[in-house]
Amino acid sequence: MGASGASAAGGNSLASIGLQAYATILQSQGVAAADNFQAAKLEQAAKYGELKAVQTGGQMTRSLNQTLGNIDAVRAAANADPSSPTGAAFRDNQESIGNDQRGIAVDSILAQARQERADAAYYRSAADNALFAGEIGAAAGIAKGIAGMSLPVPG
Amino acid sequence: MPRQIQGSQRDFSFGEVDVALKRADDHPARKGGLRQMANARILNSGGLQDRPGRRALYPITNGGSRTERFTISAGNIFDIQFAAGRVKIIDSTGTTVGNFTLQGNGAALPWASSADIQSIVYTVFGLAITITFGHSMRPQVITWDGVSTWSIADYTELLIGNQKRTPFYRISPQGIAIQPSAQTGAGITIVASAPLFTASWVGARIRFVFRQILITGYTNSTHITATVEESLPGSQVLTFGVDPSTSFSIGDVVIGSVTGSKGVVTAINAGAKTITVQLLTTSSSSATFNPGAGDQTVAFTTADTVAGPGGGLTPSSVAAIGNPQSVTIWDDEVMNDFRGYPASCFNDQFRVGFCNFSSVPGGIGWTAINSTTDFYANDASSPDNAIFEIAPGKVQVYFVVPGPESNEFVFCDRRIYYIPISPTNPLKPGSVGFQILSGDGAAQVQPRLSQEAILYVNAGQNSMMAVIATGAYLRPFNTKNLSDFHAHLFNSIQCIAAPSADGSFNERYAYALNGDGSIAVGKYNPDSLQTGLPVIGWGPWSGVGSVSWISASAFDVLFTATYFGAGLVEILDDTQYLDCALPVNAAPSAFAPPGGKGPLWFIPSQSVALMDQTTRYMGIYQIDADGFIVPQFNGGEDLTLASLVAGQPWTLTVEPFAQNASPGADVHQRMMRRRISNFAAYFVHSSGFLFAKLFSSKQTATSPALGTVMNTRRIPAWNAGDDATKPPTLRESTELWRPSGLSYDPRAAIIKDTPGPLMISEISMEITL
Repeated sequence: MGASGASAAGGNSLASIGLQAYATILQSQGVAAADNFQAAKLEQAAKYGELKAVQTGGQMTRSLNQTLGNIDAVRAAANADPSSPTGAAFRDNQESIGNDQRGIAVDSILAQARQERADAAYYRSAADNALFAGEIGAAAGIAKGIAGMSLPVPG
Repeated sequence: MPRQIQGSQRDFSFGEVDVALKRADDHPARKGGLRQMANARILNSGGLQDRPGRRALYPITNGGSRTERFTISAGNIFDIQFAAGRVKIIDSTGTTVGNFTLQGNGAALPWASSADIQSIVYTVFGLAITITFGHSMRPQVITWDGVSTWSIADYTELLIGNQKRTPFYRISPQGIAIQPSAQTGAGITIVASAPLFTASWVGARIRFVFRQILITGYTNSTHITATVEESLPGSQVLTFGVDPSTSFSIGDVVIGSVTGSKGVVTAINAGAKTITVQLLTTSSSSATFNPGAGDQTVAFTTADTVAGPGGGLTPSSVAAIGNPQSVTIWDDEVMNDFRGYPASCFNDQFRVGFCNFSSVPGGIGWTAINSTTDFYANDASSPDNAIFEIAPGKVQVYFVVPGPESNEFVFCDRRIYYIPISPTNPLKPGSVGFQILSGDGAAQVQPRLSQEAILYVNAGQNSMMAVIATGAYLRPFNTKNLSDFHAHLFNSIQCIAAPSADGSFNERYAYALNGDGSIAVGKYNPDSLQTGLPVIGWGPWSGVGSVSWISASAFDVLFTATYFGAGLVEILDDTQYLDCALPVNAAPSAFAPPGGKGPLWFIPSQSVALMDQTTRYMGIYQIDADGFIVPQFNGGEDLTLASLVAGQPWTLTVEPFAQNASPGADVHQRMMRRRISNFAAYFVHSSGFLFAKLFSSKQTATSPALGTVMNTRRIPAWNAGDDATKPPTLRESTELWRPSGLSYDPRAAIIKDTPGPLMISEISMEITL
């Protein structure tokens, strides 16, 4: 009686342990999938960021070129020689300011993109970790379940 | 038709006009002008009076021929006096407090002739006077310590590290390239691509790719040695995976997409797939800019896409930075012993300015704000930095004058410009524009600001002009000729003086000194300057003295003059009726006689006019060899009287045009010889004068010159019964005279040949047809 009872109880526990392990693995796969999705999203954002940096750099270069052209035109209208020492220095200074602004803007966007790439890498790593943790968790659950079962001692 | 007409003139605002107007009856200048108006000044009322005298201030030593008054700080007023090879600073007592014959560098002051002295330009800023002269003299700076000491020094540009804060501009021929042998160090060699250098280059600076090099030795026309004062940008070889010759050309300026490095392509090797660039950005491989962003590489790297006008490529490798390449990107120091120095200076907006450069004729430079030796105009990074601009039109800039409403006016040989400046468009690097005021140029005679006008001389040096503020939005300034009807009064004008404040009278006059020593003085009506016919009354002033310079400061008008070989400085004084007027018994300390000498020791053995009791003319007296007045023992003569004034007289002459008959029904008007039936003068404050008939008859080989006094009637200072030992009664009355003779051009004048006051408010003529 005791043996049959023990046998019936042990059969229920094994199923439970299996289901629990499966649930742990499924949960970790879900977390990993979410992390991978987040990583993919960040990688996409980083790509857009890099593209934006290139576009911003190009646009600001064109804008700077136009600014310098305007300076030349305005100075020409004022009969000021663009090749005068101050004319050249003023142009150089404006170019330098424009380049600085462009550099700051582009660098800022690139820094954001770099951050997004780093975040994506983190999420990918987190996904891997989640899967691994799920597998470990499932194995641990099984081991714990087995250890906790009260089987009859053969005699 | 009447047989006679009567003409009366009450307005003399046009002064002495050209005789060519004598038949132009309807012309305003003919109506308001006189045929002669010598030694008179026009009043605001339109009348005129005897001109002011000139009070002797102090005698001139060392042959000074130009004296001007300046204020160096509030309440501290001095005179600056130029003589051949000398400049003096003189205080209000006539004491010389600064006396310099040498420049700061020890060389002699170079001006010698009167023309040299007239061309000196100086400006007072802070406690320093900056003096420019010609193109060979380094500007000199005379500085006052604020107490008592004056010193002279060369104008020397500021050095920051090794960087000389002086302007650079490409003066040398454009096509010539140079190549320094190293980026740093002394004794480097610079090789030019074409003959360029002379021994005179030694000591000058050049900038190679915006970095300064001091030339220390001359080898030949293509080789010099130098010291690098600011380390030079080097060169780089960039290697590509493809032949770069299809993307780049020699001379292209290329830029790195990541580093921002800039370079000019100096060589292309299609086989090796390389280009060599002279870097334009820096002298090292990295430099810090973009504060906060850390070091950024500014030489090319393999991360760069190297972009040029013809395309871009990414280098597969970049070499280390090497020695500089041969490029044409370099410029010359604008002012130094080799290139010469500016001949003109000014100050405005807390900057000292220079112009009239020999090496850059159209150049105008402004130092940094409140830093008169920071003249590095090749740095526009801050609004208070120095500025160097080139006036357009290939002109030689003579003068820059601060004018109305903060604007600056540029007087050139073939143009006149103005530079708009305002609080919303302040004077700063990049703000300078040149608006044409006149296509006619100006003479090298210093313009003067007078109220809201700037007086200047036309390029022909024979007309007085003015820059007028019109108040119009689109054309705020204009130029006007102020001497259209007075051409005979001007010749080779040397200087202009215009007081900037009222003195003892409200009228404002401008003074012009001609090349022949004559003086023209004009009263102008500021309101009329805006109109198409400015009312300017010019008239000649003359006297015994020979005037070499006239200047004005506030209400003071100073004359640097010579009497009988003795130089002295005089000041216009409306209370005096003599030139060189000296209160004999209360002379200024500067005229204190040497031991044993008399009060007129500086003009011994000459003659002098004496007046006492302000308006009593005593006559002409002789001066003995020791400078004492020889008494004549006339009635009332007291040579010890405190009010006794000795000086030199002049003669006032006022001659109106004879009124012409109007055209109309024929009575032979304007065709027959005519006679002045009556000639009347309405006068105020009269101390006597002459009516005179002037010769105007048919001229022969033996006839008198036109205008010769033929007969006169004297209106005496003292009438019968008056006490001639007392000042004459200053009469307000009318006198009438009937000159004799017939002439197609009858002439009569009022002459005042004795010192004393006279004001004429109307001259009338009754004249036959």
